Amino acid sequence: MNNVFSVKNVDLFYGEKHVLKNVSFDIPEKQVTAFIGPSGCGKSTLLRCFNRMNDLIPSCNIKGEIHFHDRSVQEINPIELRTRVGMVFQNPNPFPMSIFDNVAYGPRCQGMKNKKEINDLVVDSLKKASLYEEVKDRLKDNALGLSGGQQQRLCIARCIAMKPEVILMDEPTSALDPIATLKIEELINVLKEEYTIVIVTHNMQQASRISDYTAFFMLGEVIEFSSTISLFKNPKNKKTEDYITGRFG
Amino acid sequence: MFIDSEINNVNGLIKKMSSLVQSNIRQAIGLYLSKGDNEDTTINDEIVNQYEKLIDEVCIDILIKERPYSKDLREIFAVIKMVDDLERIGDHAEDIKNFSLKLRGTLEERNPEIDIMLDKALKMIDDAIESFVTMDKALAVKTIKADDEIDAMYDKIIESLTNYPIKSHTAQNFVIYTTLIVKYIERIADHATNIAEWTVYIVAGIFKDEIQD
Repeated sequence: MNNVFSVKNVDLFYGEKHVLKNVSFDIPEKQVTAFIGPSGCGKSTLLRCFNRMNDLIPSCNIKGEIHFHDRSVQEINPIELRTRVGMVFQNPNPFPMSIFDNVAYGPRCQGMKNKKEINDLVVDSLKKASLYEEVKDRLKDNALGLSGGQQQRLCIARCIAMKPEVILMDEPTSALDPIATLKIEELINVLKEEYTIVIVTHNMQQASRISDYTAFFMLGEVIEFSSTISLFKNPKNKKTEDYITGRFG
Repeated sequence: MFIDSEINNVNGLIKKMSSLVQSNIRQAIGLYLSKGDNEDTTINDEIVNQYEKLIDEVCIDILIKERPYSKDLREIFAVIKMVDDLERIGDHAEDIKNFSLKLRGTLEERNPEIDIMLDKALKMIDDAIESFVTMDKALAVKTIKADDEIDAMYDKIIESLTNYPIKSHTAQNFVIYTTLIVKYIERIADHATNIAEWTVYIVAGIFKDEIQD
């Protein structure tokens, strides 16, 4: 199996605060990798390193190496990197424009002008995000009129329209109801055939249901990284065991 | 932790069921040793069956409510498997009782090897249950190994029974019923082995084919 990201001896500081401590592991291609751990353990921070979102934080200082395929992420143009490594956030954040324009926004920014090409790409992206059937008759309606779950799938469609290799998801269902959550989880299961997915979640059932690999973080360290089944059935580390069985702390 | 108290509750039920099964099997064996003459035998397999159903239901409730992981998950899964073995030992106690009653009044002499096999099988049940109660992997592994001795004794006893001189109808019945009883003892030891193997699974997370010294 190929690896998309390779993380080697990464330490990350926000000013004086040591947030990630000597983190090393690989993210396998076209698999779902879940990051779990208590709040403030560094899982979202590492996720944001993969597409250099932490560059926007002035006090952030990163040591060690994060490679996207064979290149250090620091050597890749952030625009190129964020095109190839898309991101979906905790709260759905559609632009205040039509459903169609939300999905077409990224490709248009990158110079796509052919109307048919754009139209095909929008339809294809909405289909891949399992949203097309629900919105096909109102593509010109404002995206803010969609339900929370639909808005999140629209954000996934917007991400897919950029033809990324990797989709980073930072607690993508924590603001959604159980039905909308299930739809996103089913979607993730389909998307992994085409994309590498890295998801941060606080929901242990979600991690065990949808991911192939799981990394357990605590206080900035990766305590255990292994196949999800193995980690939830027979964790090697006592700290992992205590956390997933609810005995942590 | 809520799940701790629920698992403690299940373990308490397993202990009660085990204690009942141990009592039943001892009574059945006592009846056999007395050639069916022990009047005090009060084996009640129905209560054992009720325990099996109750424990299964409690375990399913825990799976639904707690969605356990790791050792908790292994323990609930293993208990569901284990109660099946305990219930089967209970069935065999009933079987041994029934065939022992058919030996009542026989003048045929039983092979002393059977008494030794009975002692070893009883010890295996006690040790298997003790290994679960105390989560003692070493004792569980020792119990698993003891099954080889039982199997060897079983082969030897069956061979001697096939060579038993059948000079009367009584002798014929004696051989048939004794063979069945010995077979049940061998099966009981197998179930004790299963219980010990589930204990190892709970403690170490490995299945029986992965167990080493």
